[in-house]
Amino acid sequence: MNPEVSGGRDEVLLRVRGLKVHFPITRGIVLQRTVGHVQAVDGVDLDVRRGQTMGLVGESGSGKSTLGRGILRLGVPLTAGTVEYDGVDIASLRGEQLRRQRSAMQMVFQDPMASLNPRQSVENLITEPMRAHGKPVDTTTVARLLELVGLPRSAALRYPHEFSGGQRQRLGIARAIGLEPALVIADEPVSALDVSVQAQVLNLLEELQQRLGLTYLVIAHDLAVVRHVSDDVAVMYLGGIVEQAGSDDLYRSPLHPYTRALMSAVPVPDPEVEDRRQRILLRGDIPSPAAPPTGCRFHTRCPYRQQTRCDDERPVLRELRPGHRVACHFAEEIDSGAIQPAEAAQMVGTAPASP
Amino acid sequence: MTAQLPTLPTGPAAGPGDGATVVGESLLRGAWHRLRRSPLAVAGAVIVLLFVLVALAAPLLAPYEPASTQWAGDVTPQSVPGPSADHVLGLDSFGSDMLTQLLYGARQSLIVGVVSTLLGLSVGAALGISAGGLGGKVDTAVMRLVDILLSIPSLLLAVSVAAVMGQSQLSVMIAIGVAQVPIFARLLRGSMLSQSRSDYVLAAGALGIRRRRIVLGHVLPNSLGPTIVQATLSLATAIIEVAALSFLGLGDSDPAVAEWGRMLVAAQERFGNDPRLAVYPGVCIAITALGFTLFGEALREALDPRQRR
Ligand SMILES: Nc1ncnc2c1ncn2[C@@H]1O[C@H](COP(=O)(O)OP(=O)(O)O)[C@@H](O)[C@H]1O
Ligand code: SF4
Ligand SMILES: [Mg+2]
Repeated sequence: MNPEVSGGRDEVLLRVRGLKVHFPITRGIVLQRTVGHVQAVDGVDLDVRRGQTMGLVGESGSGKSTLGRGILRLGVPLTAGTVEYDGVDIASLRGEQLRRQRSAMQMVFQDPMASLNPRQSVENLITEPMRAHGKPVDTTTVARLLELVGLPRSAALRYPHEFSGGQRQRLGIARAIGLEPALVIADEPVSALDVSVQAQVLNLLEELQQRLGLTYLVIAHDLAVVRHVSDDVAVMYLGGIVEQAGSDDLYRSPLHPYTRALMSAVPVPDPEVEDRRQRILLRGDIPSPAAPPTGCRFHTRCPYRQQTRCDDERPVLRELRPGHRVACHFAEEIDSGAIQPAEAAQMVGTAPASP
Repeated sequence: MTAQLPTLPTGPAAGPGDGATVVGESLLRGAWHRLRRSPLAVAGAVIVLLFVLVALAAPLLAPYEPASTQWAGDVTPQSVPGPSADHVLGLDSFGSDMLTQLLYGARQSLIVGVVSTLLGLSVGAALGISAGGLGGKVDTAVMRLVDILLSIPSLLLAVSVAAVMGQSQLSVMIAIGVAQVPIFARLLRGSMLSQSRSDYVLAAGALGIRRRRIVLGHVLPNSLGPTIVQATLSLATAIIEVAALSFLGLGDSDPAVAEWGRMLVAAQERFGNDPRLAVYPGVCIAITALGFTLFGEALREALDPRQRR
């Protein structure tokens, strides 16, 4: 997957800056008062390069879906920030302009059954969006799209409930690429599927990327899934990106304590690496985004937490190595081993994970 | 855009999918198959069908003219002639042939039930669709109105309408229909709102399908199930409510007109001596209402897309 940089075109297809999505919390039935905000996404910067796959990982509740929906303007309020698609700010688009823009940016949903209208035949569900965007639809269109996602032509006259989970997800993908999008945001595209078909669907996404030159933002709570498909990975925690790097770089040398904790939960196939590896168990649950911790949002669970700065100063993403950015005040010291995790009881193994 | 569909290579991208072998079956056809397999649904459908046939063919089936009181002389304050060769089910308290009255009563019930339900359904659905589809201020305004209508007991509402419009069959139908408006409005709005929150509506938005098309083409069809069921059940209640309105003296002004509720009321004073006068129309009302209810409930199950056996 090479970046398709041609004719001085910007290498970055999607550029997100300072994106915030805050959901108001209201009280009262007749006179609704806003008593606070769920800060689901709170200041996210993200660059997705053309023709590449950006993986977005984080625990459930860290705001990944909300970020994806914020970028696509899907039923969530944009509190602040800009979303630049192909050099154009789309955060200010409204009504018909926004609707037209949608064909360029598509979404694949987590629950393939729920995201298909049960009363729509396959043929209908594929052609309806194409017609809505004035795309030519002829007798071979549906068959071609079905073949492209590995379904038989005969599927055209059937209904969603007649398919298996994996096949339904293929339908969702066929419907999305029928609009010839350049960017596809896949929100946990395989987490609702049987393990046996997860790889098939991920492979399909990869093959489509190569054939159609698609750019992906793939959301997952599972690092193994993201590693499989991503060129770059962004790690999200409680509404913010805490680390972002090339996929290999991130897996070889994670810098943020949260990333290290996520990694330590995934088994490594290499037994030698597996033995040297640190196991960091995360204490407790992710805090509520309605009242996020002050300073570093991870400080309530961070085993490397320091007396200074962590509690009262919010770390910004800074580039520690080329293309590797991290939001932790003490990333260098943690990386060099100068700072050790506070509670030894949480740790299994002796050597630090990074070389 | 980088992707150009017309130049796409053909052929499967990731090998054959996890093969689907089932033959295509639309939801409606599926619902029909499920209906046929449920004995209660079949029983309900048979009753409903019989009722409709009888109602339509009453003039052919009835041995005599309806509401003809030519045998009124045989009726005494103490007793009404029972079954005989001429009158299989005997006479009613006005001296008409019981069987004829019952057959024509079916016709009456069907007309009142269908017209009033259609009335309630169409006005209620219009309100519900605008509230559920447009949302915001329209929704608030419509629901206020519906709340007010709902806060009045339906019988009182029906009585007021009948009182304003005067004693006639039309006013009975309007009265019953008006009382059903808030029920349909609320039901349809509720299911539209809950459908609106589902993923496929979100997906339709993401695909750039126009709002109007999403509401009318996706949300509405998926919200109709409960409303269709309610309409079927409403036919049953309408038949009973006609009886209630007749009891309160708000029905058609001609007392001899064949109408089951009316017959029940007339039979009341003779219940001690001739219980059959009440039993016949009572059983007719009960069986018909039961038929519609069974059919409606079975329909509810059959229309649920998740219900697959
Ligand atoms: N429509 C909404 N209204 C209020 N809070 C919401 C809404 N959608 C999501 N949230 C909250 O935002 C946070 C992030 O949710 P989400 O984006 O779904 O996380 P993820 O996809 O990473 O699991 C959660 O705490 C969730 O409860
Ligand atoms: S800033 Fe402090 S609390 Fe936050 S991740 Fe770094 S060490 Fe942990
Ligand atoms: Mg999510």
